[in-house]
Amino acid sequence: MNRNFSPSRQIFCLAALMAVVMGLVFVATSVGLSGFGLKTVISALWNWLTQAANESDLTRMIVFELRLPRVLLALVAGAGLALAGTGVQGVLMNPLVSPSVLGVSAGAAFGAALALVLGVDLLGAGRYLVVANAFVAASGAMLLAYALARLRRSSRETIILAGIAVGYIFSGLVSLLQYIARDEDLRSVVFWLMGSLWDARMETVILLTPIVLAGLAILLFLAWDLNALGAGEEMAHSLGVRTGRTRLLALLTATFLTASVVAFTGSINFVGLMAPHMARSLVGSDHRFVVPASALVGAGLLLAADTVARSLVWPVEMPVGVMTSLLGGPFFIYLLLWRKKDWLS
Amino acid sequence: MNLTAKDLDFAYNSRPVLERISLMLNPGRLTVLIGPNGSGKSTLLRCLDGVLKPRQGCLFLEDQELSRLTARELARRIGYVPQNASPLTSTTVSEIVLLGRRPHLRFRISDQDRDKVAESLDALGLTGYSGRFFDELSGGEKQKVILARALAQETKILLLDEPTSNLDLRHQLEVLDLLTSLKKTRRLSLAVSLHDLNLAARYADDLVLLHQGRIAVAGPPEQVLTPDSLARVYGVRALVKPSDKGRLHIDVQATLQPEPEVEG
Amino acid sequence: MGSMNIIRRALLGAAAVLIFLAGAPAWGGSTTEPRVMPDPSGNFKMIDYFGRERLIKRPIRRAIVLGGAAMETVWALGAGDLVVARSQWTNWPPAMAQRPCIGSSSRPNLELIWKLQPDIILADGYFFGPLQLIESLGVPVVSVNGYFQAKVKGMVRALGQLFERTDRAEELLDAIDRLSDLLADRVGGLNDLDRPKVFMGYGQQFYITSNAKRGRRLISLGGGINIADALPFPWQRVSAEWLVAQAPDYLVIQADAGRIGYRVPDRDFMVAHQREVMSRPGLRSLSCTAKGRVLLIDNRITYGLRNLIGALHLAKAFHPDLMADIDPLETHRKLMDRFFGMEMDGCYFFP
Repeated sequence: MNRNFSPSRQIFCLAALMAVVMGLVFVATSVGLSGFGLKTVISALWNWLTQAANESDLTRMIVFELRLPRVLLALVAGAGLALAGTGVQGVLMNPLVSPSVLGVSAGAAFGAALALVLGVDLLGAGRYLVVANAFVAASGAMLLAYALARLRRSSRETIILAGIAVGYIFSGLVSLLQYIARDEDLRSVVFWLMGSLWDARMETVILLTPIVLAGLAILLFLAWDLNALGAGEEMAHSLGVRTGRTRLLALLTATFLTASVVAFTGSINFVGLMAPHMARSLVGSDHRFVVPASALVGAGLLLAADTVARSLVWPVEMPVGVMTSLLGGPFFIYLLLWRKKDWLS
Repeated sequence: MNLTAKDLDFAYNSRPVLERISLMLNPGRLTVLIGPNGSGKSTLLRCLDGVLKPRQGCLFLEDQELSRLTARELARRIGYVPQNASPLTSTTVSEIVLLGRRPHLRFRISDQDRDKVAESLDALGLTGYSGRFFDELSGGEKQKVILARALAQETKILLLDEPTSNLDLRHQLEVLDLLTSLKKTRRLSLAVSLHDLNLAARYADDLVLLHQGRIAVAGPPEQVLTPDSLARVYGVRALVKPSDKGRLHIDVQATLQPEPEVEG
Repeated sequence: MGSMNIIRRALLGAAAVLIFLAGAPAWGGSTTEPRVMPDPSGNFKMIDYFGRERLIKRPIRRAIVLGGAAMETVWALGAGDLVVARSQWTNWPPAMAQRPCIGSSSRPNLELIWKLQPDIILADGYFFGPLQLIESLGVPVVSVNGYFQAKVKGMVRALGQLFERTDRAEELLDAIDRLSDLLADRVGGLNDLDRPKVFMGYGQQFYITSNAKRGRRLISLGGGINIADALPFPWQRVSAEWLVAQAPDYLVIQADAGRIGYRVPDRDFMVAHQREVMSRPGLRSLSCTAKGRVLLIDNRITYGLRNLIGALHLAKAFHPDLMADIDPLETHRKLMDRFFGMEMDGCYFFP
């Protein structure tokens, strides 16, 4: 297998990915309540663009209030999770990590469970109680792991181990909350832990989009630093990379991306882990291409998983987090058994 | 461009590793650092590169203080090849060499960057290798790729930490010959740490013998490599005889008792 | 290390979905109406909800109650002073919250039970697992179920006999009968065309619904049609698109205002919750939202002795003309006064 560093191949890959994601968008928008397929959606969109308001209320409601927000949220959330994964894998030079391994998911779960079981409001957020709690606790978990690692020396192994330790502590706390929870609250926590895009709202999409775009911009800004880190920390340093600053920036970016997304969706694992791998196998190891490719793969992956999740047992919503786990587990085993050569860690 | 170190002190936490090191790297000259394990060779190279911050003393690039330069400016002036510089990711030869351009570019790769990469590959006879995966190469080829990356960085000062370890005899000579020719053609200031005293004697313009974090002797090979200094630093009885072409040959005969204290 | 963790999580996820598909409550075997009979020895023989036969010492002086429906019945029978301990969430009526807590009803503290030396333990119909373990202490455990409306009368009758307060039990049964007769008379005969389509959601994450007996029967008693009847699992989250297409006439939300324990339900909470539900995408454009037909009902009037109060509220909301002379709030107040000896406070139904 030969790869050339002329960017035409990578640009072609990005374009192809974009096309695949667009195709998935078309499929996803046409799946759902029967009678509201692609044609209805497109004509509704067209009428909206041309201000021709001759839509029935039901069509308008289903297209603009339910389906489009859902599809868009899947794209944005998937891209955000994938970017976060790319960031931590790149900066910790370890293909087996993702924000969830570093305690972010457990932290988010703890925050959410605190709200769902005890009604504890960490930010005074009222209606966005669960969201705000999850965000605060998720960020807190990863920052705690980072601070712990800094206490000794912030080698990449220490950060990972500290993240795992913090993750276990928060998982323990979540279990404790589940244990003392009443039936109905327990059910809420369990549903939250399984992750879902059922609460897709345009407001959420509008809130998350700039966060994800900022994350994309920061990681692109760090692309060469991440490339250099791929050659080893010392090497990166002598290439003028301020490794400490790069690491902190990438970890913070990943934290806020993941925390923002899972705060709204609940735990969705594996997208952050899988997407960077798929992206690398498509465009190579240059992060200038891996970063956008990973975002596209993540967006497509989550959209596909969510579309399956919401149409598998119509009208019951299966949790998309379960879908990604069911896809992710086997993928990970494949990675462990057959693709080990790619990464020497 | 020359690099001067004045009275460097370095310590890991409270354990001193380097004490009062002063030396100067000059254009067109190859300085070889020798000394037993733990004598501070790698640490000194990392201090010279700015990876490690000395506790005391200062470093000058020409007459500019090193600590005043940004990381990027530094990387355009001083190149460094660590020991075992194996990349963690699966990458191609050209991608690795391209990393050397990182201090020179912002985001896009310019034609000039491409040319420099091709030039560096060419200088090391690696032109046909550009699309190959790094981890499929032999040890000697890998070392050359790492060197090509350092060349693409276009620094006037190049520091190499044991570039010949893990190489067979032929590749050791090849790499050192290459460095010798580079120092002449590009007027590089080179510092290399080596274990093999005969190789050191053969290639060094200047030798620095380190012992327990201090410079035991420094100067031209014939001044540094004496039976007396080898006995003191390495704890071995050795004969040093000039061979033909004026090179030194070191013939180690036995270890001396007791073995000198070796630092971690 | 991290990878093992991830694989573990994947397997847990898979296990979770299997459990989820299998349905939550996992009691084994069949269930029956509890019966209490005199025993030749002068004590009682009881066949409980799970069909288990137990000998119970007479008279009962010390009882532990694990479950809200059983507890309020024991209280309403006037036997509250015989209760020596309770399970974690069984803390209503408030006087009962003062009793020692023996932990969660699924895993009670056996040492504490042993120390309290009860004559009987009344368990909740939901928890089958720990019964045998508790009985190893030599205390008979009988299960009653007051969570399904159809089982309430059986529970009242059995507990009345056990605690030897059959007169009081008859009064309770009579009150229940009168309420259910009223409902049957006013809305029971309605045909499907006259019944509104109702969707009942649960808790904070409103789309979670159940096709289980409780919600279905409550809606049916109130003179509505449960549109979740056809759903495949005991508990699930439904597609918003489906809900919108079903265009239910009423949304009923089982709100749970007292997050910890069995507090008085709070009106402000219900108002906020209703506003939240009515602003959700899809739901905010439903006709039932526009007409203000989003009803909040507190859990506690959907099971146990007061389940018909919940049905009464629903019937009044669904069929105001048929129920014009009925004031569910007043009925509730009278019931509280007569059987619980308590003043009504809090908001159980909104609006």
